[in-house]
Amino acid sequence: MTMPTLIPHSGANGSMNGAVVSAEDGSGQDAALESIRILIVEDDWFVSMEMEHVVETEGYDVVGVATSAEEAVSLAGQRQPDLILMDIRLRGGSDGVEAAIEINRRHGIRCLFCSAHTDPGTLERAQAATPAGWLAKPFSGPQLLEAIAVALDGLGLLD
Amino acid sequence: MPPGEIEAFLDFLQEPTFILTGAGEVVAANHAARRIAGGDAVGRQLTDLAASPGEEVRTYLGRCSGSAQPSVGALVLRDAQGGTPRYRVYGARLRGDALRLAIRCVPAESGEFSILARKVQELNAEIHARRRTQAGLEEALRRNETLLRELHHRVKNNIQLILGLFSAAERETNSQEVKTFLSDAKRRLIAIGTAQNLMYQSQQMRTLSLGPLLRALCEAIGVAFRTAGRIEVRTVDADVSNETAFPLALIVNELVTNAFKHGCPSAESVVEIVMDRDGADFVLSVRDGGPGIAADAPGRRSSGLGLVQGLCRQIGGSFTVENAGGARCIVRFPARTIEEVGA
Repeated sequence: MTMPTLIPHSGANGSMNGAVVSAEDGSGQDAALESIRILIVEDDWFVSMEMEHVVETEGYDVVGVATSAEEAVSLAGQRQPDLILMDIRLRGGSDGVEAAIEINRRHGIRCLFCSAHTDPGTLERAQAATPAGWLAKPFSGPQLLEAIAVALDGLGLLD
Repeated sequence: MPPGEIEAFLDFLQEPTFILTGAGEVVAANHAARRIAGGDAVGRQLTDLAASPGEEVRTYLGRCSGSAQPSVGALVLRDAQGGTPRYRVYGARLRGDALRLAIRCVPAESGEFSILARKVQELNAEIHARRRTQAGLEEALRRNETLLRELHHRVKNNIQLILGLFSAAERETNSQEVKTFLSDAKRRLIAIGTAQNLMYQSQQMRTLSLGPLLRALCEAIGVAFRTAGRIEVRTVDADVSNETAFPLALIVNELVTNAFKHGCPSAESVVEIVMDRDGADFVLSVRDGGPGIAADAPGRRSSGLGLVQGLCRQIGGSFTVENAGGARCIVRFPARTIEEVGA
C-alpha cells in the first residue's frame, strides 16, 4: 500500500515548488543582495573557494573568509557581517560552535552552520549560539543558497 | 601394623603429626613434627612444644580423647627457629586398648577455611579482572563509535571537497561539454552524499529508509532547478539495504533530473515520483509532463538513461519507459531482505 508522504516545505498535497534560487546560470545578480554581508568560516580551501564563488555569484557581499575560530571571532568584530556561514571543525582543531557562541555573545551576529557534524550532541551544544540554520555537508551550490535565503528570511533580512 | 611401619606411615604425612598419651606426652612424631621440635620430640609434653596457653591445649586434648572422629582446633607451635607457626589441628583418639591421641597439624594458610578465603579472594580477583575487561570493552566501544563518526565526517567532508574540485575545474574550462559533464558529476555526487548523510543520521550501517531517502533526494534535486515545476512524492515506508540504496539514489537522481530538464515545459508541470510495493518487488515510477522520450532517444538524455539501465542491472531490477502524457520511467527491483542480500 502506498502511503502519501510529505516533503519539507510542501503543502498538504505533498508537492513543493521548484527552488527559487540557483547558481547554475550565474545570472542571480540581485541589487538588493549586494547589501547583505556574509562571512565564510571554512578551513578547507577548495570548499571555501566554492562557497565564496557561489555566494558572490548570487550577488551577496562576501566580507571575508576565516579558517580558525579565533580568526572568525576577530573578523566578525571587524567586518560586522549580517550572517556567518560557519563550519564546525576548524583549523588547528578549533571549534566553530565555540566561535559562534562567542560571536553571538559579543556582537549578536548569527551563524548558519555548514558542517558534516550534525549529530544530536553537536546540535544541542550549538543551541547556545542561537543558530540561524543548519546545512549538512555535503551540499550543492543551490542547497547552500536555499539555506542562506531561509536563514536571512528567518533573521528578517530579506524583503 | 608393626611399630616400624607406623613411623614410616607418620613420615609419609607432610604435616607435623604427633601421637600422644592421654596426658599429652609425645610417644611418636613424624619427620615434620621433629623438625618443629628441633629434634626428637618423644617424651616431651605437647604443651611444652606449643606457644598456645597450656590450659587451651589440655582442654583440646581432653576433647580429642573423647572421640575417634577428629576434633578441629587451633594450635600455635614454637619451632626450633623461634618462630610460632599457626596450625589448624585435627585430633582424635586412636582405636586400641591404650589411650592414644593422634594430632595432625595443618598449616593454617592451607586449612579448609583458608581454602574458602582463597576461593573468595580468587572470585574477587576474577570480578576485578572482569570489571577491568568490561571497562576496557566499553572504552574500546566508545573509541570505535568516535572512529566511526570521524569516518562518516571524513567521507562527507571529502565528498564536499570533491564537489569543490569539480566546481573549480568547471569554472576553469571553456568547453561547454566539460562544464556539462562536471555539472552532471556534481549532481550524482550530491545524490551519493545525500544517501551517505541519511546513513549517518539514522546510525544504521546496513539499511536506509526509502521514504526519507526519496524525499531528501527530491529536495536536493528540486532546489537545483529554479524554473522547473513541482515535485510530488509518494512512497511506501520500507527499508532497503545499502547495496540497493546507493545505486537507487543515483537512479532517482538521474530520472528526476531528466524529468526536470526535459519533461517540464512550464513551471506548472508536475514531476510525480511514486515508490510502491508490488509483491516481492519495489516499483519506482517517475512521471513528467513533457513530450516523452523517443524510442531511439539520442544525445545526452540517453547517456543518463544508459547509466540508469546499468544501475538497474546492479540492483537486480528492470527499467522500462512508457510515453503516456509525458514520459513515465519505471524501475522494478526486488525487495530483498538483508539476509537475502547476505551483506
